[in-house]
Amino acid sequence: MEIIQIVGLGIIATILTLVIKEQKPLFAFLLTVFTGVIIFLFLIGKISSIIQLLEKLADQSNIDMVFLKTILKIIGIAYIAEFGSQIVRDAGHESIASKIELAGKILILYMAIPIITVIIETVIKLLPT
Amino acid sequence: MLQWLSNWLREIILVILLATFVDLILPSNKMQRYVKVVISLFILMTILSPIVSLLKVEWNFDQLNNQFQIDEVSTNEYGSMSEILQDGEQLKNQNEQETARLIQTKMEDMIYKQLEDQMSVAVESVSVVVSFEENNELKLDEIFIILKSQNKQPEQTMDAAEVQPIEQVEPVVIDIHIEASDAVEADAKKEQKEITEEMKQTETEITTFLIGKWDISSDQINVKYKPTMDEI
Repeated sequence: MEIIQIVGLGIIATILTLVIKEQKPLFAFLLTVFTGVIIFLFLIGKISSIIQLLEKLADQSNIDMVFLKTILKIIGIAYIAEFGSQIVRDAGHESIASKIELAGKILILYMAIPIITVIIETVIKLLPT
Repeated sequence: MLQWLSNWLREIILVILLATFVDLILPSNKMQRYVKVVISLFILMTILSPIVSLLKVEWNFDQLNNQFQIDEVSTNEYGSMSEILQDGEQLKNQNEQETARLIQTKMEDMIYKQLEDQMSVAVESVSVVVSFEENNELKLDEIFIILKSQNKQPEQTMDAAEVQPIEQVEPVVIDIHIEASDAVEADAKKEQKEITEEMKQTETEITTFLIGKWDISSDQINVKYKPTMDEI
């Protein structure tokens, strides 16, 4: 029944934020950040079991562990960048939010550099010289 | 092979499953496109993995190339022409040798039988030497006949009707000399032992008989006597 707890927490936090926002926008922002972090912490246990499942899957299929690590890193980057950019957007700083997103995208592509190199090398080697 | 294929397929399937999972977990926003690209690269990578592992090994390309060429020669007709011709020549030579050997044994049997049946001489052994000429025609080189020394008197039962037609044979060299005995060696000298006369007569008879039958010249036939005990 964690979903009820989380939804309740979210709704209460939203109401509080709406109340505070008129007087102290800064605190409203902090409240939002904390709510987000707490919901994330709630989910950590679940995320770990999902990651374990993925690891087991990868282990069974003899996939390179590098694959899995990279995929997990990519997921993590995506989540964190999304979290940060949404909070910043809520605070009304659209430009910073988009920069965070940009950073997330670039980091994800950076993760893919080894794979892209390998694929390109393979293709080039396959071509007759 | 099948094992390897199943491993590879399992890998692909599981990577795709993983990718679907990750896709579900992802936050739904602009980030998704990028993550999808990377994950699809992963899938591509897995599909290409056999090729990658092939390319990772430092191949000795010359050696590999030679191997492929050998394989091609043995499996299809696109091999190098010279190699095929070489193989053909080799096979032909083998074939010729086989044929020559077969013909030799057959002729030996036939001559042996003919001599025994029609001339009533005790033949010890017959050996025939044949060879192939340039134009693939068979050439009878020499006939060696070794007779037992206690020769019966030839009975001259030559029957022309019984003579079987045999393939054409070319020039023959006969050099008659008698083995392992000075007396017989003295064929040319004609001065020792009265037995030589008899032997010589038989030899001539055999030679003429063979010339008639096999159409060869007399200098290709060798008739010898097996040395008897007292001669040795």
